[in-house]
Amino acid sequence: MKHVKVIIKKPFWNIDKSKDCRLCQTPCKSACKTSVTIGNQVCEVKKPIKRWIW
Amino acid sequence: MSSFDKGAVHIFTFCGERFAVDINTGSFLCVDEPSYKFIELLLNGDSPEIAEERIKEIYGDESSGVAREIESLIESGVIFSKSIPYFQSTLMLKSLCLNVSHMCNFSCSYCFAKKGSYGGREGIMSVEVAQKSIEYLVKHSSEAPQLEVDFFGGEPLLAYPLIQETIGYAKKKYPEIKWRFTLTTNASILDKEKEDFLYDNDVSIVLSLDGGRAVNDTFRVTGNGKGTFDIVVPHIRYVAEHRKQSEGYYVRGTYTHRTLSISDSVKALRELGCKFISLEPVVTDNEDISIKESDLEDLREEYEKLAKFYVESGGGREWKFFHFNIDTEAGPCIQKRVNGCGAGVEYLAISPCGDIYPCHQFDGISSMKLGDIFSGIVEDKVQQRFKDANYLFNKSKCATCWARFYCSGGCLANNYRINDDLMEPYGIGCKIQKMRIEAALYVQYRLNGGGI
Repeated sequence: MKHVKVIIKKPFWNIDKSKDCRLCQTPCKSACKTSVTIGNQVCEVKKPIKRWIW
Repeated sequence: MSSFDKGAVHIFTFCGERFAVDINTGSFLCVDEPSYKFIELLLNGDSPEIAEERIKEIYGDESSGVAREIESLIESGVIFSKSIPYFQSTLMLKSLCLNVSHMCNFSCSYCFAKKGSYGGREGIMSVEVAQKSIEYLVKHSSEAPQLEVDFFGGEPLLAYPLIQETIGYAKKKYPEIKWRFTLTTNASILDKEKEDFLYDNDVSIVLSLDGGRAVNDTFRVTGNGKGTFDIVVPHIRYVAEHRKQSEGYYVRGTYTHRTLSISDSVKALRELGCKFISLEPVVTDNEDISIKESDLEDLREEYEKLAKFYVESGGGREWKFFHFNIDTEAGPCIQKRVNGCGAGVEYLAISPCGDIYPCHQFDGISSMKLGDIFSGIVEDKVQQRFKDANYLFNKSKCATCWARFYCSGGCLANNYRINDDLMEPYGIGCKIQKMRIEAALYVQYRLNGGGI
């Protein structure tokens, strides 16, 4: 009997940790304007976006 | 096995399901009741052996295999992991908010910009200030390949000719740079001609609308108190239809103590045809509308309703709710997660007269003025405060919070507005942030098929 389901595995480790490109959007400039939503962003090196708001 | 770091795993329930998040790696697990209890006991300081005995006493045969399964995940670093390396970045300017208009044709009572004027004189940015701002951004951005400019206000489209001219100027003078423009508008004067220009110039749009007519018109009113829903909806519908395939827009609302039914508001926006939706809590010290501790239970119920609606109505595929965007394969790197929003360093706001502020929410606060676009940043001590405050681990409460790698230490403007201290998190905001992260993770669980 299985007791645990791993839904997301080590997502913070999926990028080269030595890089510090900060290419992705300034968080407050996205769809919030009054909070910081880095967790809702994507890495634009790994996943370029069409139009750049998400 | 030795005792476990009590701050390494966050466990929570949502919509009746049990979950665990490994804080250092972001690993996310759905667990059954005995496993949840087992992890809880480890977090309370029990050894795996004692925890195993305890769950056997409580759950009997149902607990068989739990310890082995969890210990295997611990050994492979999926949970109770060690911290990974990160460092305080040397942030460089890459983003400007141009407050092109300190005027607004609406009079929304919750507006942090004090109905567009930011507590000062009304005005529109001059061409000279706008062009100097573009030059300043390029000069101080250390050859960044892409730069961000956000047209903000007040209502920025009151300065539409300036916006057109500024976009043209930036693209013509600096063709080698990948320009990324956004515009935040109440949509009242966003006609077809303007939308077509913005679309053709790759300008992403944030459209302000709080929900259905009754909710929206509670606070979003004209100068004479008339509701604005009927004014803006035709324009928002046009943009939503025009950008149906290409993305590049969000309909963004604000909810308050008096308009807390966010699940209904999102449904209303969906019924209007909006595909990309975001709702944010108001941040204010106005007791009549601020979110209170006593609202949080109702708000959690709202997030639960919204999460279920999202999954059951094609959310993630056919439409998106901003808070629920968690990219499981290409989320931001750990460096991004520890270095804050960049306010005051990576991101600056320019007022119509050319004054430089750390972000749009600080516009008009004289003690936070950094300088002006003609002389540059002269208040080095003020800027240093922001450099320090941006780094997650400089804020003691954030350094040990389970949600730290999702919010990166939160909004400095909110900290200042509520606590008069950049380093002191806005407590209610933190609780809402955690709630919405849990909701977003639950959505991931459901979108991944649910079950164990």
